[in-house]
Amino acid sequence: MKNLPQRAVDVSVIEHELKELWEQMTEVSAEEDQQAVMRACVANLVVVNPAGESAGEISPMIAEVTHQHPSRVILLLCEPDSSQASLDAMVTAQCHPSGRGRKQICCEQIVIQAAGEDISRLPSLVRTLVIPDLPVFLWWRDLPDFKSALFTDFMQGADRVILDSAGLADARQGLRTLAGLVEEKPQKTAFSDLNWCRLTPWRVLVAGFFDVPKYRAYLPRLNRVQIKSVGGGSSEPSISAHGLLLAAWLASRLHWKATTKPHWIDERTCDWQLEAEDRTVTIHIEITSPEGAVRPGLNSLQLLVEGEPSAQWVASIAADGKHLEGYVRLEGRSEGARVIRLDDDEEAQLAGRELEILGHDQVYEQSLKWLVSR
Amino acid sequence: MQPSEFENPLREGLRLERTPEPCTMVIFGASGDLTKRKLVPALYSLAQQSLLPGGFSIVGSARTPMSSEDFRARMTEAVHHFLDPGQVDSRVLENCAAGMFYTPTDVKDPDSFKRLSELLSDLDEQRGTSGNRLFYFSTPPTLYAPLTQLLGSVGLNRSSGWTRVIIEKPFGHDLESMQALNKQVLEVFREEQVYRIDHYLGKETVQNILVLRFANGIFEPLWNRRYVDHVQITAAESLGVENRGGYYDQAGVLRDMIQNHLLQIFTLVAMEPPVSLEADAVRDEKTKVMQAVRPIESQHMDQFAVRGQYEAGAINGQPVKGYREEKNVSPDSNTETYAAIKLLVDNWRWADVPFYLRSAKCLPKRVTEVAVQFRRAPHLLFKDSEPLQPNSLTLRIQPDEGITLRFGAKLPGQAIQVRTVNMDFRYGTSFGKKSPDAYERLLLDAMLGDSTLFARGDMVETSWRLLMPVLEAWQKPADHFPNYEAGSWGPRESDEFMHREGRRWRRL
Repeated sequence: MKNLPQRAVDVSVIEHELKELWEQMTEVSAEEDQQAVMRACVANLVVVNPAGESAGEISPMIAEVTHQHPSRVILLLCEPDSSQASLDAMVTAQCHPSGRGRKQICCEQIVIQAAGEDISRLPSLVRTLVIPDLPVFLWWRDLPDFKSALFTDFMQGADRVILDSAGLADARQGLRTLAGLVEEKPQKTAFSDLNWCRLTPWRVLVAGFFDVPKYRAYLPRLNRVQIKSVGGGSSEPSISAHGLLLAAWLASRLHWKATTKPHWIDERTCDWQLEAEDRTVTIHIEITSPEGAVRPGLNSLQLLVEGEPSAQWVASIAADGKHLEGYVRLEGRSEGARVIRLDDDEEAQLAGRELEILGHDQVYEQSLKWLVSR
Repeated sequence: MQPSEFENPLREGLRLERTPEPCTMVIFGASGDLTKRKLVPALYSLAQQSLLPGGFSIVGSARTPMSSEDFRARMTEAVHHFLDPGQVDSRVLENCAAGMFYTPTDVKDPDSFKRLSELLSDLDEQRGTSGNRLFYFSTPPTLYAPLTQLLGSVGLNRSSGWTRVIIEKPFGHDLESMQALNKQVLEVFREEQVYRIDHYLGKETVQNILVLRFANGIFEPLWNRRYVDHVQITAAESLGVENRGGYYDQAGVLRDMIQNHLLQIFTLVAMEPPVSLEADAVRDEKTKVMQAVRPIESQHMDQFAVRGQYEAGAINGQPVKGYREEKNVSPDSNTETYAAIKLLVDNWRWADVPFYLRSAKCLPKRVTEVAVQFRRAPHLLFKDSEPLQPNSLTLRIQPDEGITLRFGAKLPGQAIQVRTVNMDFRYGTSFGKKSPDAYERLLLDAMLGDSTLFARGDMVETSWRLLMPVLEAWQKPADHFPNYEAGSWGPRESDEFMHREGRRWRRL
């Protein structure tokens, strides 16, 4: 990555400054006999940074994302608590050598710092700065106030909003609010949740079990699900967002209905009774201590058929913390072992994966809707 | 594309939309080079991306006696050897290897096929593969017919699930042998079970020809005789025959490259829009355009085809020996290492628009591309300008995959000076994601039952029929061989051939 010297500019002349920046880069590369510079852009990426985090802190993460998805980045640094209103912008470029090492692929980055009342000017400013006819991804790194005018205003101009429900203090209520938003914006804006993305390997492993027809035959008899996840040390008993999303995914796919609220047995365990066509399904959620955990988040998942003949499908984080292991226990015998490599859960990688899709993630949205349906 | 017909409610929406049913892939020729270099690394790579179904199994088979443990060890070593270290995850590979088995077979020992059949039944039971089987013939072509017959004799051409067979090229040596092989194969398998593989069609950029043409509104209106002057399809290789001298001396570049890879690319460029992306809808159009190619008449061969053979020279500053000095090549070999042919398509879209196909060994660099050259502007207003190059659209298939549009632009200044400029799209620039290997795509397609990217029997037959006059004419001794220096752009005759047409080969 190469960062060119930043230039502080007035917001009204940002586009002009960008043009000059590119001309300057071309001249520099020609004069110094450097490798040719190629400008690349497949999307607009608007990043709303949490208050207090500087452009320098987030730049490496953005560079990682734009390496995979060359975009015009509009980075917004907000100081809402400031008593003085201000708005400043600067332009810069991030460059990577191309695969064959001959040309440099460069993306432009506009950094806008807003404080106090001027923050409300950001949505309209961003609308003028996005490259026309390219998708707009809004990556809100802190959890927004879903009901705020600022979030709503930004959301209007975005094709996809990227959030992370991992930070929800009250996951159940937060996901229900998010489900409400998803329902309100059925056509225009799609939503991505990095927390949902973290569940992908679990869903792949579990789905893979039931590719085998003899296992699939057990699906209508599943009557117990056990989810163990590493707790965040909260004093209040609450199910984490990933636990809820996983339960909602299984329930919405397998047409289970929730007729009651989760019942807390003690501060770390709860049972949730769901109704299937001809049976009751219990989802048992256990919050384990973060001490000694090899990886945060989900720790293990078991799907069980209790009764005769019994069956059990187990997925859990391997001891190395880098793989997900699974096996089936049928009639007392273990079989069907599978291993999946867990990709890095870094925010940049997760966000990069979300930039690959434009349309609605129907299964995610259906899972969210399931959470509010009961 | 045909969807797989099985329902797992948990599969939906996984962003891995293409996952086949549990199945067993049986590789004949499992001790050979292709298995180690391409097939097993591709299967491992699919496993690592979680694109293979639960229960997926590999059965290796060859004459070589070997235990399943030995086969697993060899394949594990091959994956480590042929993939970059960063691409290999030992745990995933270990899990993948646990699903590998081996049983020796010999076409002279029919009982060995009964043992194979028993092993497959056991795997169906143990690993839940439900009788779904994919046989891959990675053997010398002489074994294709006996293998087919033996599979049929033990009933492995049918099962309670699906059964498919992938056959590597070359599919026949000429029209007659192709027809004979096809007949033998179709006595045992139905056409829809047969997947004739051409790895070129698995390349992303080759598939992108369809996307460029039929997903964009701006190109198709220009894609006809009114605007296109001619099309050049080139597959240039900088390497010689390496250790394939024995095979190559029997084949030549016309059989090795043009009959399959280049004609397949030609059909994608020249075909009419298919009614859908169903395998047969696409393959019908490809076959139709090949059937519309004007037969090459023996008496006019010089106007349609040029051949060459390389002599010693230098590539990248390194000396290269001549073709006739290569190992397992006859010192007076008549085999062509350079071939260029002109195809004329007798239909409304392409009447009088020549398609030039060329391929050769030992050229200065490795390039595969399709260049559509448009007609000049009907009236040139800018007479004071330097001569303008006609517009062209180049689809670069390898390396540096991408698309380039060449057009004229005004040179900045007071006078009107027009210069030719290129507008470039490069895959590597716009998409940070690496393209999958061609074998990954094709193996997955075969497991899914999607034969769009595989050649159908009638298409292969038409391609042989088209080239037979050239092959027959080139049986005659080539007194002028060798006629181009390794590291040059081919024989002088080829330049003259284009010159006579009032055109020239693109400088690559």
